[in-house]
Amino acid sequence: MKKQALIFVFLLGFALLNYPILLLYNIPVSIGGIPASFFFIFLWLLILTGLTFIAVKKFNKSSDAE
Amino acid sequence: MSKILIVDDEPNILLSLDFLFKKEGYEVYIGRNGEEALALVQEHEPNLVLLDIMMPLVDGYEVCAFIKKEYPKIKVVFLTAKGKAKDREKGLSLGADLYLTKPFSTKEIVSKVKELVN
Amino acid sequence: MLSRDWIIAATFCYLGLLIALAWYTEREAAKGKSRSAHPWVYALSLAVYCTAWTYFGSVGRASTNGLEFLTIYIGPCLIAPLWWIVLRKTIRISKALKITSIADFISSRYGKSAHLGILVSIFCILGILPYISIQIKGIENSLEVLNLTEFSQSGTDFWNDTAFYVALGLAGFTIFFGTRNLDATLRHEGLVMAVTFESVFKLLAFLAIGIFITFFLFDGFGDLFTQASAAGLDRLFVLNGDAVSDWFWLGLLSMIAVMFLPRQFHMAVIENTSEKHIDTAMWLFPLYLILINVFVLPIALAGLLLFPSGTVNPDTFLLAIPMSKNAHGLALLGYLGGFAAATSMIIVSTISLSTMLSNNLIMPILVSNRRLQDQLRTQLPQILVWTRRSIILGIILLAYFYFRKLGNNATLVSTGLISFVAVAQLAPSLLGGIYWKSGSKLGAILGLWTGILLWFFTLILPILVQNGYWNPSVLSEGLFGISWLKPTSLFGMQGMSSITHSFFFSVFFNTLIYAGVSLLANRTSREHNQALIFVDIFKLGDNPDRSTIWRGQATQEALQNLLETFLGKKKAQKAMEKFFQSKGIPANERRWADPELVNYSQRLLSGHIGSASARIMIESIVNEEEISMDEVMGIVRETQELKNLNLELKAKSKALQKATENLQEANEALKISDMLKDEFISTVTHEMKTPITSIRAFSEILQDESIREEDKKRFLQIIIDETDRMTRLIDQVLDLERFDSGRQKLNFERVFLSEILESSLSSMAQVFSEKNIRLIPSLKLPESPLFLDEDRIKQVILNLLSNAAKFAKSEVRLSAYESEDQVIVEVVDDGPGIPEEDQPFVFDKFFQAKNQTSKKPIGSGLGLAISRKIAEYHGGRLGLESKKGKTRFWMEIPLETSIKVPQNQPIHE
Repeated sequence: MKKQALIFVFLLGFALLNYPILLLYNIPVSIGGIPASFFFIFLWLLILTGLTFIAVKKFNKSSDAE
Repeated sequence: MSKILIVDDEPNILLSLDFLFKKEGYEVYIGRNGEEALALVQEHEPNLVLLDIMMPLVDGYEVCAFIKKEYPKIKVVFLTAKGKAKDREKGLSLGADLYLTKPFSTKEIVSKVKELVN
Repeated sequence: MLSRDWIIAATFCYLGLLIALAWYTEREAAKGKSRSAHPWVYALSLAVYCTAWTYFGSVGRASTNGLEFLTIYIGPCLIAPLWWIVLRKTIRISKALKITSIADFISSRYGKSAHLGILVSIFCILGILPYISIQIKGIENSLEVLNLTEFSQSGTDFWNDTAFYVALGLAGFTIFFGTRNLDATLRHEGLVMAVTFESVFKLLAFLAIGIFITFFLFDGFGDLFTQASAAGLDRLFVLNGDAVSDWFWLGLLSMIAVMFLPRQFHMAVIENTSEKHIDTAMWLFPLYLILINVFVLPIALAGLLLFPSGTVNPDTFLLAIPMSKNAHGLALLGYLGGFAAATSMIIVSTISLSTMLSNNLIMPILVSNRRLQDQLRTQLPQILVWTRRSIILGIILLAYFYFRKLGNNATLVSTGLISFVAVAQLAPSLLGGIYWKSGSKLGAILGLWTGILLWFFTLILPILVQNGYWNPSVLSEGLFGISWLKPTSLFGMQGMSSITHSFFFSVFFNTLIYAGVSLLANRTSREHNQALIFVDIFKLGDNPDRSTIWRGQATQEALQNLLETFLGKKKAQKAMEKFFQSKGIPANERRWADPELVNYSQRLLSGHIGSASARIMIESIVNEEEISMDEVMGIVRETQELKNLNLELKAKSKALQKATENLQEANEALKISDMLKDEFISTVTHEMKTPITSIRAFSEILQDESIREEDKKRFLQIIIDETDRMTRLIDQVLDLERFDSGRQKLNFERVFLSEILESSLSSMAQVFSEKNIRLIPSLKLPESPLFLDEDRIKQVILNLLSNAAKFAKSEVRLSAYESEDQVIVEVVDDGPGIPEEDQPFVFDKFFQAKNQTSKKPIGSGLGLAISRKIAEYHGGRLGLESKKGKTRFWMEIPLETSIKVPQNQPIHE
């Protein structure tokens, strides 16, 4: 399960931070004064890191299985 | 006069014994199997029974056991081809007075019977 | 103003702190307290990924290309979750096989190939050297910014250059903490702690400057971005078209680099103490990257806003901005942070490269020469250590001079990316190596060569042209004037950046050749073994020694001597003891080492001198016979044959068991037959006694002369009859015995069955008429004669008829007819029938029905037993069916003339 969860995080990140989804926020728009691309890239990275953290903690607690 | 019952399923043996004991002056009855023997014992209460063992329907052991239970005074002599010690012991333990094996000596059998009857 | 003395003092203070920390950690480790075996230490030590390039180069890149610089960090963040799968497997393999570097890893995977080890090592040196040089450049640049500009491009001699002495200092530090132990798989505790400290330090320094610029010089992110936007810098907020294409490829490239750069491989794999630490690294490392990158764009924008004239190199904004605002302390901190980033990279890279070179290049050369090996044998460990030390020094000096000769024109980032692409060439054979069993040595070598050549052609050649070392026509005309062989646009490919272009084509063809050749190539058994170990590492358990097929002989003594040379007497003995203890057998018992011990020793040695050299050393004392794939197949076949033999044996023993059972059964049967025989004999004697008794009795009676004449006659007749009876009985017993033992001979002749039947009928007619029983024949027989023993068949029929006569009430039918391929003769009477429970025994010897009453039927009790035997001797059967009022005996005799006469039939049926 841990494996699957981690692969899921990888695929999610790969989709969010690559063409074509990238084009959705790679636009000259600012959010609270911060450029959309800058904002979203770091947001996604934080979310992905958070998800990895959760996956590791959760599945390590439930079992140490591969 | 003493009464003798002879029981055997071999006609020729019956014939020879019948002849022998009649000649010696006994009142002889003949039984060809165990069933007939039982009937004749009850009917005539002989002094002595000469008994074969291997007979159809009711065998000699059973006849002997019956006689010794119901008529303890009747002497029983087994006269059989079964010569094994085991058979002899079984016969005597049932109360038989004598256990003789075939083929027999006519003189011997006559004298033994005479002894027992008197 | 920062004085030169201050800066130098701070630098050496920092180095001193580093040394103290490393020293302390090593001391503690020697006491058994491992300070660096902590998941956070592991995760943070991986941040050696962030070098001077990150520290200075990213800002420079961001000032021209905006967010594009981030791809190099997004890739590692994305791939991090997969480390649990890929990195863990790599670690497991490396620990099991005592791998010392990435070159060792690849060499080991492809049959411990010295060739591959050398190729990868040299290529890594070439690929990483520029990368190390830009670290020195980073330090140099920062010193320049801090107004220590004694180095002005060309004028100064290197001995007057501060950077040169810094480089020497670094070499000293690395040598001291990196080559203390000969065993390259042993962790460098102090070093890891130092690197971790540097990671934390550089992050804090970067964050401090970032916060200072963003929140003190400007009013937060919003303000900074708004000002930049107003200044027309908003083009940097959006990735342009080309960048989007690069985005993907650079992301992919950095995913590979973060694992396979020699220093990353060293920190992540070789220095790993527990696979569990990956758990922490998977989120902490990305978090680190996010933090260190969040201020990159703001700093770049601030630099562009503050120095609009373009006179300041954007790569130095990080220091230039605090300097310009007179925040000297902060600038010094930034300088030290950059110094930390550069030094950690240099230290780890040089250690990994020196191990790689000494174990995969120098050692194999030294030990593969038998004479050299014999001469140097005892000094090899010393040679090894000093080789590593000189390599470290050599690399750092080479990097320094590379930077002075070539590295000035290129930016930090572009030089770094060239190294990334170089390292990416290792990916196909490495990833293929751990997930694809068929990946072969030849495929790896050819794939690597392809990748290296393309890398050189597409990235290095243009640099050489730039520096005037190569004819520029190759760029415009293509190689040999072939237009689709232009280094920057292979096959006329346009629209890719040079890095992406090179990365794509080199790795593409590398992979293609690797996979293609692997599919076609034959592999040696050793390659096969290693492939199995690598790919199936999780299935192997903890003993890779046992899984290899190895053939050869080595004395235990020679092995021990070899180990003692490299490990020292004490350690070698300990290792041996450990081995025998784990095997549960006493040491020194056998003269010849078993394969497992040889593999174990080789593995131990691998940790010191690399797998290829270890193999060569072991081979020098082992009379190993090279095993080809065919031979392995042979071994497998032999095993198979053994297995088959085993199966056969099992079958045999099963058969034997069955035979025993049969024998037992036969014995039982014999016992029964013995019993039967006893019974038979006692029955026979009993049956014989009966006529004898009569004969004797009448004989004695006849001795008496007074008997009447008619009685005499009668008695004599009885005696004669009984004698006949006895004769008959004896005849029949003998008959039966002959039939039973199979000694009975029949006189087969061609006879008409009907004749036999008719003569039987006539001889029985008398008996039937006496008993007033009707005898009804019904004969429908073939014209042709049968092959029979006339007398015996007649005996059977007479027996059946006389039996029927004994029991019949009023009639007996004798029928004979043909049915299919046999003749059936049957005798049916209307007597009382034979009770069902008696039917199976009717054909037994001396069976006489119980219900025969007073009159005993004439007969010995052997008639039917003999009759059945006769029928069987004719190949037929005798049987009966009976119910009240109808008893049918039948005999089947086959029409077939070929009659098999049973031989030696057992007595029992």
